Amino acid sequence: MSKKHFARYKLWIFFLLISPIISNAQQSDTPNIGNRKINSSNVQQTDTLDFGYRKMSIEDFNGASYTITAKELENIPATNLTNLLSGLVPGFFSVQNSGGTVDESADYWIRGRRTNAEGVLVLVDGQEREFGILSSREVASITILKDASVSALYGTRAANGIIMVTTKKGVIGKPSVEFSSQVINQQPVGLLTPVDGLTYATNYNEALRYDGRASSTLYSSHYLQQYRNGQGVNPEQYPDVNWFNDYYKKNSWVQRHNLSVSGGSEHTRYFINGGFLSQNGMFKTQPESSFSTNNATSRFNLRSNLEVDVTPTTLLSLDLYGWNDRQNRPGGDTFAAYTSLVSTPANAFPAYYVNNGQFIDQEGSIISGANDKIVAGNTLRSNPWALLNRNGYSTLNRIYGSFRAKLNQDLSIITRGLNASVILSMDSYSGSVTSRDKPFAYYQRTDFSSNQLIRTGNDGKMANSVADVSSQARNSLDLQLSYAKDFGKNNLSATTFYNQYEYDVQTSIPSRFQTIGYWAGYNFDHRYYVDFTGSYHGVYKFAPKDRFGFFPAVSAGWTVSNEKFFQPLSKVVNYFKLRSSYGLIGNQRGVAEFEYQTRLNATNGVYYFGNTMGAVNGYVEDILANPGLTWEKAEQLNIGANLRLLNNRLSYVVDYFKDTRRDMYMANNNVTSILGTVAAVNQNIGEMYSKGFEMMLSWNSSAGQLGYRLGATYSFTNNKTVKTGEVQEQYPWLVTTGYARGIRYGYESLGLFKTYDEIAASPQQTFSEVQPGDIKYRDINGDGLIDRNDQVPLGYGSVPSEFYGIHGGLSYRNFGLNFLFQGSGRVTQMLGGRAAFPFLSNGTMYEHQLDYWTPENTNASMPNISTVTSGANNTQVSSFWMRNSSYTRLKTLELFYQLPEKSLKNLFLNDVKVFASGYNLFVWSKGVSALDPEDLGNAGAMPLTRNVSLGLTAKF
Amino acid sequence: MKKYTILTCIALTFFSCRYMDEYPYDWAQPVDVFSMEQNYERPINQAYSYLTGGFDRINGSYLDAATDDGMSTLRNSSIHRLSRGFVNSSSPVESSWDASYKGIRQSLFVQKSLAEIDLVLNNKTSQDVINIKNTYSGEMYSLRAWYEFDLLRHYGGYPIINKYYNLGDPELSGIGRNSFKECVQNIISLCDSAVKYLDVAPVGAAGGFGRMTRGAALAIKAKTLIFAASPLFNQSGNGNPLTGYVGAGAADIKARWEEAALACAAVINLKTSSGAPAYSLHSDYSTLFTSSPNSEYIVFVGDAKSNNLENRQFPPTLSKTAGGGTVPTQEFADGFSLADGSTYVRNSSTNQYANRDPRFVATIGFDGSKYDTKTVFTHLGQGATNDGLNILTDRSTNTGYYLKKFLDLKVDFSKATPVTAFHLTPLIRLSDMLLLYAEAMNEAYGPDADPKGFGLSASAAVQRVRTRAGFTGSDKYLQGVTSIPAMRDKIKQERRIELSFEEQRYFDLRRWLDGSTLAKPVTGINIEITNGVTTNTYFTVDALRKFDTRMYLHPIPLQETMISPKIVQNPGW
Repeated sequence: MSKKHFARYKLWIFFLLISPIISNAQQSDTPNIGNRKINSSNVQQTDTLDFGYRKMSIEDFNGASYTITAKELENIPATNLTNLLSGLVPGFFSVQNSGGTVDESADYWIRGRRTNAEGVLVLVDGQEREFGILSSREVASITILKDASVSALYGTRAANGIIMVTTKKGVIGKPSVEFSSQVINQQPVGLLTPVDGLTYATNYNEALRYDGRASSTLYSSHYLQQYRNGQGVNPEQYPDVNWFNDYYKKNSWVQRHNLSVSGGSEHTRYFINGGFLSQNGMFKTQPESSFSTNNATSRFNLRSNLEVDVTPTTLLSLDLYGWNDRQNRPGGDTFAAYTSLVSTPANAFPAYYVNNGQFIDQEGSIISGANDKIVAGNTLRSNPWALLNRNGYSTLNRIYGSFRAKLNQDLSIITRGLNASVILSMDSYSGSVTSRDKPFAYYQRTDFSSNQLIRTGNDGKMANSVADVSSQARNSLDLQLSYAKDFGKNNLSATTFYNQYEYDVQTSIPSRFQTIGYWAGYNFDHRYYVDFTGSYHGVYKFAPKDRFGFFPAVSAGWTVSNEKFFQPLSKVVNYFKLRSSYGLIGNQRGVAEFEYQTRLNATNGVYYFGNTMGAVNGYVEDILANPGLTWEKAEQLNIGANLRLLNNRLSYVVDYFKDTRRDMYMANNNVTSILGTVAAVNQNIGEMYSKGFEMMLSWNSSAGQLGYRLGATYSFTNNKTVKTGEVQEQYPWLVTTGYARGIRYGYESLGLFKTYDEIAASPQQTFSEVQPGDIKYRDINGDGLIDRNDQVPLGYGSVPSEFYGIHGGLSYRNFGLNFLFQGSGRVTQMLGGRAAFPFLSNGTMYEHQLDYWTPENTNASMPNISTVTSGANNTQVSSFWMRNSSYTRLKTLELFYQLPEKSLKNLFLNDVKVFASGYNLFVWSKGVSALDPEDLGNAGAMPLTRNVSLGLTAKF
Repeated sequence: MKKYTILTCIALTFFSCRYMDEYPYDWAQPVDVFSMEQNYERPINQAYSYLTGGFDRINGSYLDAATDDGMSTLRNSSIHRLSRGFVNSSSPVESSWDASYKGIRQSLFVQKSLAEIDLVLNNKTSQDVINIKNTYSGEMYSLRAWYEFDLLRHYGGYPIINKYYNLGDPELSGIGRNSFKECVQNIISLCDSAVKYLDVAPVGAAGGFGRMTRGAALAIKAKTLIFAASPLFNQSGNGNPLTGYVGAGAADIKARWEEAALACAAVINLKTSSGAPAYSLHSDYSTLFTSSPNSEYIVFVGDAKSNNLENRQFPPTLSKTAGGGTVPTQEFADGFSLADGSTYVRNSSTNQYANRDPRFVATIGFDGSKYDTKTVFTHLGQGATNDGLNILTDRSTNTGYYLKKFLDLKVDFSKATPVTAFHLTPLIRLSDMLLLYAEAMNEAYGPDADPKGFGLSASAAVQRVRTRAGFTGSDKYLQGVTSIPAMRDKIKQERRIELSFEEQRYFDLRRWLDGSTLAKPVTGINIEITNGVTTNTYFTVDALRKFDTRMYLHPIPLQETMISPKIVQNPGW
């Protein structure tokens, strides 16, 4: 850890050490833990963990885990659960780089980027399933498992951590009906502001001058004068359209409603839940047709979780769950329409020409257009208005259904504590796009004194076809035998199971896994713990002899606070446990299937022979047999501690980890080209390790009517690649091995050239000819040339390696407030694409790009502008475009009011709450850009949104 | 107990030892391909697919844009890095390493599989199958020879691969570069093997035009021997066996030219089974490059009919979406002789393009030149169009010229469905062979001698090429040329014009040790018409052209020398 970094951690260490003292000073007279409202806090860990294979008290678990109840997330107006965990859950890393659709999911990692084959095992009620789409109101808890202690049970499936989601179950009691309703307003944030027509034209002229183009190709002064005059100018001839403003909403609405019934009698318990979500779409489309072309979505979901005591010793659980949704889109697709809106220059063309009834095309045909609107356009760019309104529409229809049946038999008749169960899970998904695209003709009007327009394309009939059909199925079977018994102070527990799992995308051979696993736990007097977990596990993709492996882990714990010698301290320190785990597990992700065998791939039109040069087909060895191909190995160590102090009001959890990966499957560039292989050779050659720690501190208390809680999380990771397939380099600074995964390479900027003399006196830059105002790079190897050999590592990667959150809640009488500030650090993004370069792909320019270099503006923040961007000097990856994209966000905020119970007595209601809540409300960032700091490198996606909502929940 | 029975039954139903045994049976293995009639020719076709050349050779340009003949209009094309010497072993821009070894591997794979895997063909006897296998094996020998020749002209000695290797074979790490001499011998023996198996006429459907033949193998051999005799590889005092012959004396060099002349004569005099010459010059130079089949091409890159070349290389007003591409320089335009064969001297005359070598109008698009029915203007001022000098970024000419050679002028992009044309990129054609023959004969025996009775002297071979180009009996080109050096210069100039933009000059200048030519700035012409008055201004288009001694040979890709210390880098890289 460098000095600079240490300085930053000092603050945190100080905070973590000092806070108990601060908290102590604030200690109130009433030592009880909060009141009911405070207890609904998600930061409170639940008492029991259900791993499917074993259910245990959290205090008996030696691994690194963290559980939140979904209660706190319920009212947050974000539509995907993956966005809600960072900052709240230590060890959870996420990046959200798009929004504005209901699928605004985040990319996420547990403990950062630990391998090149990323991906977390997500289990919903024990089956591998997506969790982001679940409604927060049907989720009971979300547990993050970070170390090897549980992952070992999954062999090669869970080396990057596990997210375990448990849905709600019914409890014995009379039916309880819970209703909730919420409206959400979504406002796009982090937007680029396109310039107006005059600004575009004058600056485009500047770019052409830089390119050395003849003056005849520039916008004429007469043309520019028309824009300056403004008044009385024909807007069809001199268009100035603010496309983004005119056709993208400043805000849009989402509504969510949910109804659940739960309860149970002696032999049956049930939880039934139904939800509805609809999103209006971000585009401003014109209601000219009977159909909508907006990107609107509606979704229904239904769940029924049932438990039946078939006999006094037999429990049958049956969970049914499904959803279907329908996403409407403009014909071209949402993203194409958005891109067109944000990048079309204001003066490109008007949205449409108003039909004067006399327009003819180049073939002399009379032109007509619906509602007297004739699509304007040219061959360089699509017309955004037409993409939204004249291009038809399509709908993505998805349907998903699943069930899980579990039969558990208590086998006490054989011996007490013995249990057997069978679990069968099946999921099926299918999706398809109904495409009703409609081709349209567009017209170019060059001569405004004539009625003749130049037509391109034809108005066509609306298509009606089904495309992008995809279907998936997952099946798993579990057979379990478990035994648990206490012999005095010796507590024993053992489980063994067989699992087979199949994931089938139905276009290739299903992925299949077989596992025999065990979990043997022992503790003495809840003081000394040792657990052995492991699996003998096979993966379909390897050679038969290499298919199975053994993946063990061991964990141990010591509850110091249960020791006699600790008793004097126990008034202050209520609970103190030290724990550790170590495991040798695998990661099969990313390893190509069946590559232990050669494959000849059929290639079409590979060459041409004969007098008429007819195409002939080929066969090429695109995979060379790679015998001994295997999974990546993960060696994972975790050391942690849990503490509760001061009448359990202060909780503290800390974990340190080291994760070493070997045999990482990656491209081996050290295979000599004289072998002549056509494709990159991938082998088990990589090695990297990551280390890090995460902490969680929370304080719950109350003073009279005032209840409050405050918590903080901090997660840090640092990884280093040790071996890769990289070939040795001529210069040490070109070597990427030894740096963090995902680090970028590029040139070191020395600012902008000021004069031709400076260029002449500087090393030769070899990308394109440079002029004053172009970026000057450092000649690292001192050979007088700026070329590939002068690239150096730049900054951090694009995924933060530091996350933190501060969350809290207050309640006073019937009012309450919850908030989460979330932030990240140690991250850099490269400004690129249209956010960096004006006129990219015939696009427009944005306001933040106006401060570019000219002989009159030599202190500019941007280099010269050009109409040619590919391969140019200024578009090389360099520190010039690097931005620190660490940020702090007010991620969630909720205010609520609980209606007094007295006032509800006559309404059959017993718990009514109204709330106002927000998601992604404010962001503070150092990165200099109009874009959101999480969006910087990805200017091509739909922008993130700020969501605010109003809602109510009621029980009766 | 009943419960356990049920449990066991369920377990047995689902539990299976064969659960994970499903395997993609559609993954073809060598036996699936080489034993089946409908498949076995496909890997053979594949072996041809690593032949390269043409208008998109380097980032949208001909390789010749890195010579004094041409310039790329593409502002940021990597070809400029090549012509300006901004290259190093980690980004060499021009490299034949990977493509050649891919081609060699595929050819070796085919030869090995043909030998090992039984093939039964419908209505064919086992002897027929042996003959077919032998022919295809012969084609593979020829392809290997070509790919190795391509390595030779780029790098000098290279690691010879004569065996099919599996991934991870420990032998691979022991392979280093062979000496230049060994490499030449290897190519010759590959060609000799090919000649043994191949006929003069190609096999295969639709005439088999484009397949390797006996003539192709002989031509690759001849070309290799020409390179082996050339000054670059016979430098006195050379002590590095990788970069050329060691201790080459005058007698050795003469013997090499003699051997080369013999090999060239074998191609020129090759006869078909009916006794007709195997190759003859195409009647019209301007339509040669869009003709398929033709009698002149010996080795070339086959391609489907298309108009991609026109779209790239037409002047922008005629192109659909691009234009420009590689354009000729003033130096190249000046190189065309006058119509009577005498040397053109640059002057300020306004009709400098008239009365020139007939190939001039077939090769160069200039101000006022005709493209089928249309006229192209490159001037500025009055009547300027987008074809004018530097008007459009990346698309308009930056020298004042367009390259007209190779184009089919009938392609008209204003039509709804523009026609397509054949664009076969020649690698060796008869003109090339004749001029190489002339070069070898001149070096070995002088301009007018034919002591071995090949039937053609050096000057007669050159004249044959010029006669086809349209020169008549009064051609002054070779008049008074009697010495070997004078004839040498004439042959070099003739190669530059006849074989322009066919990737010949890039390698010719290197093998002749004429690299200094590549270090000179290249020039363009700015024609401006004001008030009806035309002014011609010559200007420097690219002042950064550079050539170092080390550039005579290309750098071996850095990663190869890093992976294997036995693969020694070329000097200076």
